[in-house]
Amino acid sequence: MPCPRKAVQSLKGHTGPVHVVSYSRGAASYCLSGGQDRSIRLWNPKTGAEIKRYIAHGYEVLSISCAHDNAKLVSGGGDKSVFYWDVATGQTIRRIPGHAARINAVSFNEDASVVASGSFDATVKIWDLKWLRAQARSPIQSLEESRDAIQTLYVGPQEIITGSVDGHVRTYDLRKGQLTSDYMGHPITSIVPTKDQQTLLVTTLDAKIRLLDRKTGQVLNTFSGHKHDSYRCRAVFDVKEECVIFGDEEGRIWAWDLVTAAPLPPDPERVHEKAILWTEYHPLNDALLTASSDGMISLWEM
Amino acid sequence: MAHLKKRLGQAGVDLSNPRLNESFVLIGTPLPPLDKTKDANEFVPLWKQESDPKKARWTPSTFKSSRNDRNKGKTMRPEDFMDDEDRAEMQESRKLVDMDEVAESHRGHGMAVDETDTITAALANMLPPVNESIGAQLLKKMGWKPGQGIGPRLTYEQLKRRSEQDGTPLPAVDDAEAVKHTYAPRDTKLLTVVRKDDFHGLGYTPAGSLRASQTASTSSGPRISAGFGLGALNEADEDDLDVYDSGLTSGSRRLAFEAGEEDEDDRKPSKADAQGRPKVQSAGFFKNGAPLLGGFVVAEVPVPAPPTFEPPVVPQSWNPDPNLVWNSESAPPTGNEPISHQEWRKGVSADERGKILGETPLPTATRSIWDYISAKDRERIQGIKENKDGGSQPTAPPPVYIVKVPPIEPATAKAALLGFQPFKDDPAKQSRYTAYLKAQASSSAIDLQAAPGQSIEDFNNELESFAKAAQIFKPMSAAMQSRFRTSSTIEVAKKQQEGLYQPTDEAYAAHETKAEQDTKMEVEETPKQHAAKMGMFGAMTREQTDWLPMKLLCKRFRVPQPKIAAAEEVADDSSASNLYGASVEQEPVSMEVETSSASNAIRVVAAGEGTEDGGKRDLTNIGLGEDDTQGRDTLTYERPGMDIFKAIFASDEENSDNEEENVDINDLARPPVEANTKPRPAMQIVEPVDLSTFKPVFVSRSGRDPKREDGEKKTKKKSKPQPTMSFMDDDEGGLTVIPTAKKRKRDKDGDARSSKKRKDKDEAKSTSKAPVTTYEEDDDEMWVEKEIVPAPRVAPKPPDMPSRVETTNRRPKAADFL
Repeated sequence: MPCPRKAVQSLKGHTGPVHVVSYSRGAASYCLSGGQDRSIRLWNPKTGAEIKRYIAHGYEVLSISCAHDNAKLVSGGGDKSVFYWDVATGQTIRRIPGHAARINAVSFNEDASVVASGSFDATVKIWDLKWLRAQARSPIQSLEESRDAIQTLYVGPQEIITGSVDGHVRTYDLRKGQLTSDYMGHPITSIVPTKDQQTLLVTTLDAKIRLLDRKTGQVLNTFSGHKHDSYRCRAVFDVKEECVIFGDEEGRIWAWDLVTAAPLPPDPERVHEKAILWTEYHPLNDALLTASSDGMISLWEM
Repeated sequence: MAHLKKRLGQAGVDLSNPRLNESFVLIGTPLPPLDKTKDANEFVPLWKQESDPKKARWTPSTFKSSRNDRNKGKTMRPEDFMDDEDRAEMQESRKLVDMDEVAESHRGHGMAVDETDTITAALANMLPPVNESIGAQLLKKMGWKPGQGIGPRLTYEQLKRRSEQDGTPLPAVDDAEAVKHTYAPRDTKLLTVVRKDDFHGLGYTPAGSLRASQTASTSSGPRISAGFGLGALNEADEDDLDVYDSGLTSGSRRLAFEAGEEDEDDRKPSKADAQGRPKVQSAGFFKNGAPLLGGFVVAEVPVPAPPTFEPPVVPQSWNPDPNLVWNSESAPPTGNEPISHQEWRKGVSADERGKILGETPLPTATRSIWDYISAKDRERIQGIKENKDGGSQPTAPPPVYIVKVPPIEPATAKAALLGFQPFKDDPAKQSRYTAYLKAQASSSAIDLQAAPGQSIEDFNNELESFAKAAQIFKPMSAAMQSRFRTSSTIEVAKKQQEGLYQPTDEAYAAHETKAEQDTKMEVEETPKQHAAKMGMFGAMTREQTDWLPMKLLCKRFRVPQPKIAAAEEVADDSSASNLYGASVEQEPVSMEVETSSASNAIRVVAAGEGTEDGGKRDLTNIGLGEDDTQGRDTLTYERPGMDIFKAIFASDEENSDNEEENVDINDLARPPVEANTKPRPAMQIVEPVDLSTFKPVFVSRSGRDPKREDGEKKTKKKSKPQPTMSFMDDDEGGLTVIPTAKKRKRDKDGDARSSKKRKDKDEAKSTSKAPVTTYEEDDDEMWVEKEIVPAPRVAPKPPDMPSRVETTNRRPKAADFL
């Protein structure tokens, strides 16, 4: 079955929960992780080697985004500032203050010319990275429609999709100049679009994962059975987009068939001692990364 | 010297002869006398020199290497760094100096030391110098000097007036000069209290003592009021005579300044006062020769003697018995004895007073003990009594109390109904209050019900309090009342329980269900939430509103700014975009993109064209007056060809532009953005590419996801200014340095950043031999414009290039599209 369940490697190094793990762009041979220990670490997940450490955060790291050319990095966390890193030197190029609370989600756009940051202060701010040297210290735009903290963020080629604790998925379509908000009824912890951009995988705190049709706002499928009621967990598609994978709060990795929404056998076992806070699927291969609250990052393969 | 001596000795000269030692030296140091054996300064050959133990010398034995003690850290004192001068200075500073002024003035100040009294002076000198009191120090810091008075400085006028009042006018000074300055107020003399050492009766003149005889001898002439400005040489005027000088006290002042003296300026000049003073005259003398006070006259008729009373006649039989007096103190109090304050305060009741006065008491009802017992007690006692009297007797029916309804004005009741609700905390009571008010307002006998468990008496009391409350909470005036609204709901304050609260299971369950209900109510507040709860996602849970992305944001995302946003920005000329320097050139015309569904044709309409027909007034033509064509030439000004600008401004440095370069290369790699407002199709349009200008770099990679191909290509082609370390494309597990992607030859105008680029581009296009398809997006202009391809009449249209838009090398006008 398509879900990778074989533990290949575990990346040990973080002390405290690992909040986010993210594959690099391109061939995605590397992964970046950010944790409660205020560090961002660059790993080779295959060998399990820690390559580099990015130390500048003063608080926990909650989100990482990698530029399309892997040369730059952006991260956000409890510092209330977006940290813009140079990958090679390991130094911050700029720290962008402006948010009033911790930053839950950051994301580059396609060509890393802007970065969007979603914060606990219920705003998404979009920062220009091209005119860094200019005196412009204010964001290009601030999206303040949300009534509660922004938990997740997706920046597409022409739109910005935010998921908020107020239960709304808001799609800011730059092309149309239109804001579409879909009410999901429960706090949203992650949104992941399919590659064709037609549907969104929305994870909510009522222990349900829904496949949302972006065009109509209808829910095409609902995946349930897992435990998810308090942490920011993330559901992803596998590389062929045949199944939905989710690491839940009990440390189990769930997999559902995308079409039938039936959980895939075998029954998920507890593979992490604590909650899995982030699930990341390799963009090209069948490999899965899970970051857990127990400080471990595990690589799973078929 | 030694040689000299030797020779002289050989010559037989007596060296002790004083004549030999006679000194004729005028300059320099004379040689020592010959009879001296030793000359310290005599030259001694080196081999004869001996060490002199008196002179301190360096000896190797005293040398001690400091190498080992280097780390001991010798503590350096400031003195170690001082030269002699500094040290002397320091010594100087260490000397103790008595900085206190010798308070001589203070010594004599209060004590009135007589200089002639040598003993006193000697004693005073023996006393250590008096330190200034802290008050004096403070005063000095505030600018006071000894000898001055305290207070603000005075003008000459004020000082003069004050002196005159004191009876010590100022010496005549040149007024013109004097008025220019301010003067410190005069000193107030310390009031010295003279110890009274005589206890004489009034009018008794003590016998002339030794001191009195002394003063009498020293004081001669009229008594002059003491004060400022009168010296020994000044002649005493009549005014200077001290009127009130009785001769007993010395000539010191008895009055300090008064508070009212600050207002002297308002007063009349003091001359009148001086004239109004009674003149001192010796009007006459008493018969015994004593001088008469001024203004008094000796009476001609002698004053009648006061009446005298004869002492009472003592009876013969009276025997003085002091025991009577002594015993009376321990005798029982009589009515006349003093009473305590408390007793006095209690006063005497009318009855008591009457009794004391012996009045006949007024005919009143006889008082019984029942009068002093409250109604309740009375009732109780009555009941007890009856029970005692006859236990078998049935208890009497409880006394019926009628509900007494205190009446109030119907108007007041009506108003009070609208006014403040005083018993909000107790809804039941409030309802009774309302019922009472309603009954009073309608003047109808509505049956007022007491609360269960409330006695009639309590109810009566309550009704009375209601009546009072209705009067007190008299509603506001109509004008005031209209500003307020009585709350529609009654807030019930939660009753606080004492002690630790331990919820019972039922209470807990009730609380839970209530909370659930509450959340349920909240959830079901809107249909949207209801739909979400029911799982009916779709139209019910979806909301769509307009949203305006900033121009710069659209630029960064390489999407056209939406129509609404564009319109908005033209209207308010968004400052944000200016801040980022995105729009260097303000478009005088607003571009409007219209999409026809049949074809993807673009129509670029100049906004200025529309105003000619419709004459619509908008922001673009405000201020033009009636003449809409005014300034048209400015608006439609065509810039000269790019060659001119290039010839002037272009430089080689343009090529080494790094940051913006990336964008443009990226732009080249990107497919053109379709000029319509519908979402971009997922499939990228493959455009014909001119190989002379566009050289894609291929990355050999197997198993690549075809969907990512495009993005990757873009990534690869992104040229970097310097070698960039990246963790891409490496399978071995280490960071590799990827050299900078081959810098591709680019169109020279590709990197132009400013708005002149567009024109430039057009020029390039029209002049180039082969038609160029630019996929470059204009950084600063409206995106539609870049789609413009060379006009057919300027350059032949390439056969493989589908022309979307007709264009010219200038800004198109609406007429071009007609």
